[in-house]
Formats: sequence, C-alpha cells, structure tokens
Amino acid sequence: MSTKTETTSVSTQFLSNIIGKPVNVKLYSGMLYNGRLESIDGFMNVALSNTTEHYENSSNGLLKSYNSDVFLRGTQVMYISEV
Amino acid sequence: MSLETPLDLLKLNLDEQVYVKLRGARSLVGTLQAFDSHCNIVLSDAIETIYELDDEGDLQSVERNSEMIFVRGDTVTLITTPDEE
Amino acid sequence: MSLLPDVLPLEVIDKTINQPVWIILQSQREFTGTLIGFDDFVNVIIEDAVEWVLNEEGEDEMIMTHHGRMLLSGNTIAMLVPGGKKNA
Repeated sequence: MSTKTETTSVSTQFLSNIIGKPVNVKLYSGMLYNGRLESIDGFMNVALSNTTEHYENSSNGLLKSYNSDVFLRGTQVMYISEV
Repeated sequence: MSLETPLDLLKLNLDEQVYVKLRGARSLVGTLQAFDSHCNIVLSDAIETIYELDDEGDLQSVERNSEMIFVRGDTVTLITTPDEE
Repeated sequence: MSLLPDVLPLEVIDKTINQPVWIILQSQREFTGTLIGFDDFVNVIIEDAVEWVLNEEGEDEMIMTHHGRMLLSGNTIAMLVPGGKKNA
C-alpha cells in the first residue's frame, strides 16, 4: 500500500517538476514537439510555448515552428521527456 | 498539476481563429465555436486541407470549405492559432 | 477463496526500480533506460532513455537518446523487461 502511494507521486511529482521547462513531446504519429511546457493535466493533455515540430527526432529537420501556444491531445501523447 | 490546465488555455481561443491538426494528414482552420474535454470541436467558416501523395510521389493538397463543422475528438492531435500572414 | 497468487505483477516490477529496464510498446518501438517509477496506469518514468524502432529487417534503429527523465504513457506499453536489453 505504501509503495503504491509512493509510485503514484513519482509521476505526479515529475509532471509538477517539469512545468516551465523545455521538453520533447512525441505523439503516436511519430511527430516530435519541442517547446516549453506551459501546462499539463492528468490526461496528458499538454500546452507548449515556443514549439518546433520535427519527425521522430530534431536532427530530421524543422517541419514547422509555432508562434502561439500549442495544445496537444493527451490520448495522442506517447511520452514527455526533459530536454 | 498546474492551475490552468491545457483545456483551460484552449478556452482563450473561443471565437478566435484556430488551426487544428487531425490524424491522417488533414488540418482545419476556422473559428472555434465550442469544444469539450474529449476535444470534440465545432468550427465555423472552416477550411479543411487534405494532403495526399500523387502517383509521382509529390505532395498534393485538396481544400474544402464548411460553414459549420463538427470534429470528433479522437481525430484531433494538435490545436493552435494559425500563422498570421 | 481467491485463486489469485499473493504476489502481484506490479509488486515484482516495483522491486526493480532504479535498475535498467527495457520497455516494449505494442508498435515496433522500444525504450531502454533506468526505471524510476510508475503509477497505477503503468505510465512509466525512466531516466536517460534510448528510443528504438525495429525496422523491416528486424534490426534496432536508434531514434534518439534522451537525457533526464521521461514520462512514457502506459497506454500502449506491452512489456517491461527488468535488467534492460542485451546488446543495448
């Protein structure tokens, strides 16, 4: 029981720790979004600022850069990673 | 969890122009009339763009206009503001 | 009377925290790294992850290396292999 609450806090703690930091978010489509994490919820919906879009990795070249905040739908998110 | 969830931030785009990226190389630009937590969306004066590769392997796009369009949330991948031109 | 064993799968995985792990998704994608933790949905936190995709020849293609921590959605995780991946 105690381990369960500990492990739950690990992912929630991770999410609150990375707010405001640069992150990579990959969708199941393989699209990679690099930006500053503005906000996230328990469904892994994500809002990013200063976002650039790449396919699979950033060395594959820039597909697009977004001037305003980007909302990514949680069900499409494969991972969120610190940069 | 942050005070303003990503969906809260989307509210700021109500009645504004949005760019919505969908699964299967489709996108929409239109005025955001409504959305819910599943990302079901209603856009007005929408332009849908569908990208396809032709027989030569070149990228082609087809556009169509809708006065009012409902998009089921499960096809939505990304929502932002369209580029100012 | 319950027929369930008294050791739960995730209790076994819990014991491998801070050890190398190999995570296989339902697709051709895999991750290796250090297991930091997981939640009830088996969303997983891994550290210094390496991301791989199995190509058509069945060979591992490295997609990218990650530094720091990653929250990997449990949605399409098929397998967690404690100890990591051999030759990786």
